[in-house]
Amino acid sequence: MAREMKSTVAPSRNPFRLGGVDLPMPLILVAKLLAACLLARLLWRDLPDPFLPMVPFLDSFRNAPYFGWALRGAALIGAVAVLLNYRLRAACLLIGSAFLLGTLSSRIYFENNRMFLGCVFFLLGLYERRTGPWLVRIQVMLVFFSAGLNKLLNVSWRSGHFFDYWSHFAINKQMYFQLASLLPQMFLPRFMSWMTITMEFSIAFGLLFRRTRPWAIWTGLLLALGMNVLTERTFGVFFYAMPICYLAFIEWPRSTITVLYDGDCGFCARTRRWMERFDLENLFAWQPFQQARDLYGISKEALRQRLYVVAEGKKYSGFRAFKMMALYNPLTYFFMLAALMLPQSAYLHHRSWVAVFFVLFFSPLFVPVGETAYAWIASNRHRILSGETCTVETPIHSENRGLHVGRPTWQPPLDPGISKHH
Amino acid sequence: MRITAGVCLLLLQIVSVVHARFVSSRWLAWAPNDYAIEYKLQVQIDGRDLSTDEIGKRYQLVPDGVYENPAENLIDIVRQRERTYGRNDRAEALLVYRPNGGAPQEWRWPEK
Repeated sequence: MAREMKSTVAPSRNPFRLGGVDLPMPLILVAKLLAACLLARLLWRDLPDPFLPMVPFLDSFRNAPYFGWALRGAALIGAVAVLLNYRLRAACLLIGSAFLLGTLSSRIYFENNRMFLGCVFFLLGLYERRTGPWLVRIQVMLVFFSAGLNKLLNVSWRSGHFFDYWSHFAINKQMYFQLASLLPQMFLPRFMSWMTITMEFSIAFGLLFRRTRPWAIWTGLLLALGMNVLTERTFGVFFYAMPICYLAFIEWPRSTITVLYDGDCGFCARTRRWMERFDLENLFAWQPFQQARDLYGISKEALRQRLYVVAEGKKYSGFRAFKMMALYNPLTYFFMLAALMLPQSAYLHHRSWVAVFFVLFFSPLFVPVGETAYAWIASNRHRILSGETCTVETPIHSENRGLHVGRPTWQPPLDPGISKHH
Repeated sequence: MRITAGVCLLLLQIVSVVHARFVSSRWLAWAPNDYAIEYKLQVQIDGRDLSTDEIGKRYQLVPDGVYENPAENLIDIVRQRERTYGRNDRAEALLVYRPNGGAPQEWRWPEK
């Protein structure tokens, strides 16, 4: 069964819930995260009154104070409605229209990131099952293709002169200039220019094909991260909005994700209860492997050692399993966005560091560290949280004494809903 | 209907991107932060220099700074202001700008 939210289910008014609206999971998440961004950054407040519009007709509203207020009101109401799951598509159309109209009604207001926000919301509002997420996907690819093309055809970009000049007032990392001074003149600016162009084209074309999509998304994240680390700027809302839109390229599991764990372990049971609290969409079906009907070809010995996640026929274990659970849980993205949007103090510019941490944590580079931590916790799980009963033996002892397979001393509740209230 | 509207929005952007290849300005053409234009705008009305605040009110621009769109976008703003709301003011504007760190260039209103 496709994990598309059925309109027959009453939509929840919980801003963190995605159910009950007629958009597929990743697109609801895109809409909600962008709406949260819009509210947190007070973007609705900046929507303009008509002034030097791109479309002359809009000049007729120049002295009409209600025009600007209508735009601001529409964006604000739309964003609140999106968060509350109220007529989500209509709300997206409202926000998109407000931003696109705002862009057309003032040349001063025009910024690419605002126009991007308007286009994405508008296209989300036009979602149809037949097109799926492709309207939003094409929008993202179009931005990268056009940006790459514009740079490629600009002699200042090709020669590196733009980057060299721009770096002096945009880049605030001394390390960049120290590195540039060690290299032949113009080498680093030229390298950075061509790297940016290459990355933008790679993203545009990479996002087109399923096989290259993960690479393209990683390239996009690294581009956003690199620019933020170098400049500490968010380029309007591009820094938030573009990575959010990559979610439209994610294939969300179409069926419930199975989590196989050792039911004979108190620590695992507590982990299950803790994780289920954050599973607002009931995406994960936790099953003690001793009682599971299907072990998906995983041996009992392996399941005794590590937790497994089975999503769309793919199996992940240990740290990777927890990582996948985090990545498939919408709350993770709300949490990351909140952490990135926290106000920065004058002394501690945390945003870049937080972004580096998130990218690193979810990257393959962190897997060895994560697996080491997982292995340590797994081998000491009977000592952690001593309040829980844990009768599982360590592997060495188990081999000698036999295992408790099929005779768990702790019986998990059959109804996962019950365990949530413990 | 919805698909048509979505495709139209995307096509309009493609038209805008293609159009941008034949003009110097970059409105609605996805060239985010691709330019660094250091500029200074001076305006006179009836022989009197406008102050920073007056320029800010007139164009909603700061009189000097770095603009991250092409200089032609700035020129479009001043030109449109003087051709529409300010056509009776007989303002004289001088925009001095350095595109991407290159040689300084000038643009004047009224255009000759």
